[in-house]
Amino acid sequence: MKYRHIILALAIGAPAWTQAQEPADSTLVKSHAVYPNDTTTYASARVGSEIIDLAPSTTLDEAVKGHLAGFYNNGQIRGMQSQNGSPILLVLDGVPSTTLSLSDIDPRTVESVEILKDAAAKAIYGPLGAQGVILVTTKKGFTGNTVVKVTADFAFQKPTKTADMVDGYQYASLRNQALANDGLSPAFSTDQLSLLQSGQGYNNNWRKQYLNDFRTAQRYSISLNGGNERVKYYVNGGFERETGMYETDWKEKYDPSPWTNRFNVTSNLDIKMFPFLSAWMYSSMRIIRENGSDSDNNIINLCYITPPTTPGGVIDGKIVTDENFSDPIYGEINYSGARETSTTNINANFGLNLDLNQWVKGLSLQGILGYNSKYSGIRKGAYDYTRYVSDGDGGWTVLGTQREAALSWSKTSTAIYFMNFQGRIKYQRNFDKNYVSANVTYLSEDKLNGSTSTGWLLPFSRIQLSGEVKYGFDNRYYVQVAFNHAGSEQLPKGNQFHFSPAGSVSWNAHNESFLRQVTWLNQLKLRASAGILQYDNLWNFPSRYLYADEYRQQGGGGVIGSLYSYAHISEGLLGNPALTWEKTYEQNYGIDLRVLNSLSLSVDYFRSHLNRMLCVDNTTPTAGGHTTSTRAYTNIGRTHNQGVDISARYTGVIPSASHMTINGYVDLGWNKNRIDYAGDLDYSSSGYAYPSRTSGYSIGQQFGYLIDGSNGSIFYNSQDEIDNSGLKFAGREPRPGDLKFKDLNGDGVIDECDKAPLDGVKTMPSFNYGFGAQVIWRGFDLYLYFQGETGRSHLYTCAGVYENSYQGVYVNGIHTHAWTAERYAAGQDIRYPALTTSNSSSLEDNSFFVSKADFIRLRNLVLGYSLPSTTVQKLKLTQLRFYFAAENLFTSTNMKFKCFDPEASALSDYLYRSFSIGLNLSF
Amino acid sequence: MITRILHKQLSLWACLGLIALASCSDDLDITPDGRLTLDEVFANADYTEAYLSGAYAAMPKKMHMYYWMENLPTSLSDESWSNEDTEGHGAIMAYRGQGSSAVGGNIFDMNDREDAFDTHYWTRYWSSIRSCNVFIERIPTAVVRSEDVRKRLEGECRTLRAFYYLQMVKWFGDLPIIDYVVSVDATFENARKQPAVDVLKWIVQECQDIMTYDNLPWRLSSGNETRRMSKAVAAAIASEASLFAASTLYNNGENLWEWAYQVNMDALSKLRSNGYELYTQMQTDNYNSAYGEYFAQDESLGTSPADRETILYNPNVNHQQWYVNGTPLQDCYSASNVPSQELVDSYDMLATGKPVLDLENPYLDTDHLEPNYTSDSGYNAKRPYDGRDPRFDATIIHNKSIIYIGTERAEVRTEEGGNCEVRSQSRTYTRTGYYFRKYHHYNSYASGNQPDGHWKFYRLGVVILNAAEAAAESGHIGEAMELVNEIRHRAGFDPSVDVTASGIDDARLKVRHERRIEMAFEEHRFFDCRRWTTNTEDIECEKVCTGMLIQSGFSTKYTRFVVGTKQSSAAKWHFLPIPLNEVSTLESQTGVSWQNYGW
Repeated sequence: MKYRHIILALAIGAPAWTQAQEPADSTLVKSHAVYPNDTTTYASARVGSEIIDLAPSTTLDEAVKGHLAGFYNNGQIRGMQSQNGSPILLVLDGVPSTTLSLSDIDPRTVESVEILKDAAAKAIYGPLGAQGVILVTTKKGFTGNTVVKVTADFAFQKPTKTADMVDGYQYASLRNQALANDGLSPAFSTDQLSLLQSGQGYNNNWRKQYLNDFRTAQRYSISLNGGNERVKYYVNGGFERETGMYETDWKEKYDPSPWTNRFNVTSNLDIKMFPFLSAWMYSSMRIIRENGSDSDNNIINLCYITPPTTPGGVIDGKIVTDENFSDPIYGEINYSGARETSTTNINANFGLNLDLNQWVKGLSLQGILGYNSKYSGIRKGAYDYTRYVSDGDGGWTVLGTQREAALSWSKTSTAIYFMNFQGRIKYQRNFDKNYVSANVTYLSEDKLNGSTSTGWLLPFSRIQLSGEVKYGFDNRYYVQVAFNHAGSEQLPKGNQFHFSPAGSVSWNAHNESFLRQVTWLNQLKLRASAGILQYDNLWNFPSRYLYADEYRQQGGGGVIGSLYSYAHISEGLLGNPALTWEKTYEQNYGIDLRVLNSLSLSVDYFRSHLNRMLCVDNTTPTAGGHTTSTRAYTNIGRTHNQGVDISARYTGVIPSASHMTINGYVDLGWNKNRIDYAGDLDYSSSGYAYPSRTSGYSIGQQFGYLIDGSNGSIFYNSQDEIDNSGLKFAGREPRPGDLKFKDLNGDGVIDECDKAPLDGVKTMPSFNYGFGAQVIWRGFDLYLYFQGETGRSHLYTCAGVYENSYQGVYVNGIHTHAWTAERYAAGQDIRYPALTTSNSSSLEDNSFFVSKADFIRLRNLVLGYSLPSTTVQKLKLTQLRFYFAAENLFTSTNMKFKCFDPEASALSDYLYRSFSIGLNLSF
Repeated sequence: MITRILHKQLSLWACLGLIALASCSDDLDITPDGRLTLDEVFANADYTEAYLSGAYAAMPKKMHMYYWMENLPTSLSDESWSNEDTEGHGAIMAYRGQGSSAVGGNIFDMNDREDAFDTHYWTRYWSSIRSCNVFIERIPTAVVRSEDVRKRLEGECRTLRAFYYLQMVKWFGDLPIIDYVVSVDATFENARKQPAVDVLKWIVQECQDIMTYDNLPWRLSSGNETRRMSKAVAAAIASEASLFAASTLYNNGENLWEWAYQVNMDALSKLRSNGYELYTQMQTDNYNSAYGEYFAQDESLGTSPADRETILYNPNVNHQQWYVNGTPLQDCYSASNVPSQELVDSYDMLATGKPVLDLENPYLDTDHLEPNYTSDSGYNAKRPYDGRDPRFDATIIHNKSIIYIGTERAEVRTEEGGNCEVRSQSRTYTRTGYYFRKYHHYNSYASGNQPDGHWKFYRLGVVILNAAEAAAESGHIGEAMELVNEIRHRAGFDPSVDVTASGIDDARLKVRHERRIEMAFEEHRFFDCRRWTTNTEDIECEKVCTGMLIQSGFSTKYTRFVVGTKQSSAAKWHFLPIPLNEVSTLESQTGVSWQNYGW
């Protein structure tokens, strides 16, 4: 019976599965150190509730950012391997849940999150886990008296960055300037300009008028946790409410005010029915209800793009605007109708465990049924209103054809679901110094996704058999072999099944006799793994079954009446009968070190290459009649990826300073991928300076012109300079004040051939990291956590950087410093090319608009105070803690265009800095 | 012991696992999602026909359905100037010498909305040629409604393929002939361009073969057959393809004129004996001539159609002529292609049958501002629009032309300050002093749309002038002039002023002159001026475009002026660039150059 804990840890095949949590008297006293145990042979990273619970967050993806070395903010594990995307498999309490993402899970209910990184760890999850697996384990019951925990907090949330838009006079001047640059007549007369300058005329600061400075959030949760020998339970109920960024003042017929309510209920039960038979039933439900104006997602945007000189609001009882903006912000907020989105996400996980220990020592059987359904429905009340524009005589006249329209409700919905079954045989036993464990799992799954297009309406089925065997000797040497044999209906018959093997070894040097005496060394472990994984995510393509030709009979669309009444046969993608899975060869080498019982360090190096990446072979000539829309997908691509993950933890107690406890964390991931070949074209015979656009570059590499500042200015400062440049331009002719592009191939023509890879503009950041510390001293606790990303730039072309959209969108400090002949003559600071109202040569993709987007932010700051236990006990409580928390308090970035957050991609894309106060109470 | 236990357990699990897999692999048998295989398509008579219908997808729309709303070949030719020049896209880019083989890099390849505009020829024609090849390969064994139908469908599809190939040769020159189905994994190492002349000869051969098919009709019998290929189309294709093959640009130094003459005479006589004839009988009195009325109506189907001249037309209607090729009086969207002074100068005097300008050297200067008048044509430079060939008024709206806004009569005034004056910065006001009239229904306007005439891919008049050119070039001068005069008689010239020619050179000038007038604004001039020159020569006649500024006062003053120059007259514009991606692929696979001259 001494291995009973192993049976309890019925890991459902998941290497990281842990169960039977010890009751936590306080979230604060748990050790934050993470280190692999002796039997571990694979590479992974884990973050537990002791960290997740430290800071209030709404979704699990926010809660784990930075804490898992090798897990990137964009959701990728260890970078990217395939240009077709690398979706990560989420495994919730042992159930592979392809329809779920971290943002669907309430972080308060989570005990731990672990990412599996190498082939040895991922192999048993089959093809969908090949690009990385995230194991999420929820909190469970335990044997003991019921513990009730209550958490409540209240937060103010303020955008981290709001662009500083120009005022009315500046806007009018810049608009005239842009028009003049384009050879057009001014939009504002000198009279209007001087009126604006003297403070008359319309000068609206839309953001101040219609957007709040902050929104509020309140979060409450209560959990009950406990159990006895027979039944253990964990029940959690949570409620959150967030308000939105804009205010409404009209609710006669419907409520357009912005708010979000989230309800979470989690109920996890473990039942021991007989000594040899136990069962569990884990379920959770999350309901999200979002309310707002029907134009909700456009309101913030409108506040940035509407010129300050546009009339707005209600004047003489009329909702006013001008001809260029048929959607006045006030009207859109209040009168465009309401929209209520409800999302219901239900997970269920039922399992039986049959312990055959009394017949075959160490053997058990399991059956698990997993289910998820996600329903989203939008209930929409359409409404409309009359817009008025100035009649030029001080009065107002009706604009366009839109009028007040009776409220009409409609509804749309989508539903996604999966159900899967896993049957498993598990075995584990020690014979003297020999450790043996094995498990085999059979999985079958049925899934429907939300798409309603042909092909994707049909269910997605998969079956797979996977397993692993591990042998250990004397706690010193471990060898593991894992495999999966998986089938998918994405492939033609006869080619549906693939076998993927992986293996790993580890050496626990600290258990060697010569190191056992070294007392300061607690762990020194060396790991190595390798494997071949295959990947069948063939769904994000124009045709569901890429192996079959897509000929379809179409009822109409033909051009000849007498040939089957205008019917025609459409020819879609050609099938590739030889289609097969993408295949990665992965290696991982790691070392785990722990010293002085307080400091631990894990370093992993990985490299992998993928071949058979699915690509359209663009080297197939069109002359055969195969066009880009019909060319078959073939397994011709190859990529490389490599990187390093480093994770360090420190836990120390300083007895001399009133038992001050310090926990420290550092996590860092680096990755670098390269597409070796992607079936793309080699343009060298056409004079391209960079003949390939994909092969040889990182996934997502973008191309553009390079700026030529060789004579001291990156702008053409006069027409003469353009005329004398000796250059011809395939695209737009530059105007004075436009950017100078390099003629890289030296043929005297600026065209596609001169485009170069833009430095750092790719999909994956090179580094993703987080570090922080927690200090507990007497009743106080302080938690600081920094998180950042470096090594990626963006090509910014959205409004706020580009000035030409709508009626001109001008930001202080950027467009106010645009090139003009006067600024140039006066030698003033010029930060932007000559403005335009339509398009200019400067607005073609080029390196001027590339900006680094590195950042580091103080993601969390939490200061808490727990009442002394004597006081708490008098109140019949076990814990009472008050805290103040700040999120995204401060951000440092090297962005060139400082009008939005480094993690945002548009003016209206807000990230929030939040300040909250709250309490934890348990009894 | 360990190994024994392990062994026992492992084999048990393996067995269980395999059983589980075997029992469930049916899960992976998907329900078909409605797609068909090619075998299924050709096992059903309806689907077989529907497949052929799909192969018609690449039929170009022509007229102004080039990106964006102008007839680009006409814009580039010496027939017109593009009024879309204010928009910065379309012909103006070629006028400025812009253009490349990149995706969207030249004006004929501007956007990828293949359904909306004629563009992306390389892709769309090869794609449909492949469909034709699939059909031709499958039709012998396909399920069809009757054996008669089988042969008709085959002939029709071969005609369609020949039509596509001819379009391709006109745009791109040399091409590989691919008359079989290319598999997905085919290699192109040995693919080579074949000289365009060989492709054209092959097209002629195909068409001559098709004309022997029993069940392919000469004329379509009902409206729902519109667009289907007929023997008449094959004859017209043979006529055009042989003419091109014999021309300077294509002939590779070989004299093919006698062959072209034979092919043309054969095609022409077959067309005539199967009921095709010039449109000479006016149905109404709304137009100035049968020629004018012909282009504004479409009744060429059925057993006894009013229009026996049209061989293939495009029924596609997207925009009204008054709207995209109109005048400011009609509140049009654009005047689009406005006729050039050069075209106006080419119309003969009706009374004498003589050209206004010398045919060989129409201008004394390179700017086309000093006309080289003939001495005895009867032309009066003070009343330049009077007494001209009736086709002039049928094609061109000029100062004091009368148009109808519905039933309301309106006079067009292109003089300075007039209601349709010359302006340099307007989409709707002419650049040259003229507007375009052909195809316009005489009283169609904004709130009174009438059906305008449709684009005529092929008509007997064109075949006659093809034959005339082949005859003149091959020394059959009498026959050539006979054919030219046939066209002139329909236009309204009296037999007493018939043209004659003194030799091949003279006959060539006369035929080319007649082609320019008769076929104005039908895209022929663009291709004619190209095929009459070698690939490395500039197209001189297109270099300058002039217009006429009219000032009324005590006496009306006519001043010629240069509207602009066209760098699209450069030699490389004989052919379009082969798309960059295609060139890169083919060059890397074959190791030989594929791009057209100058690109």
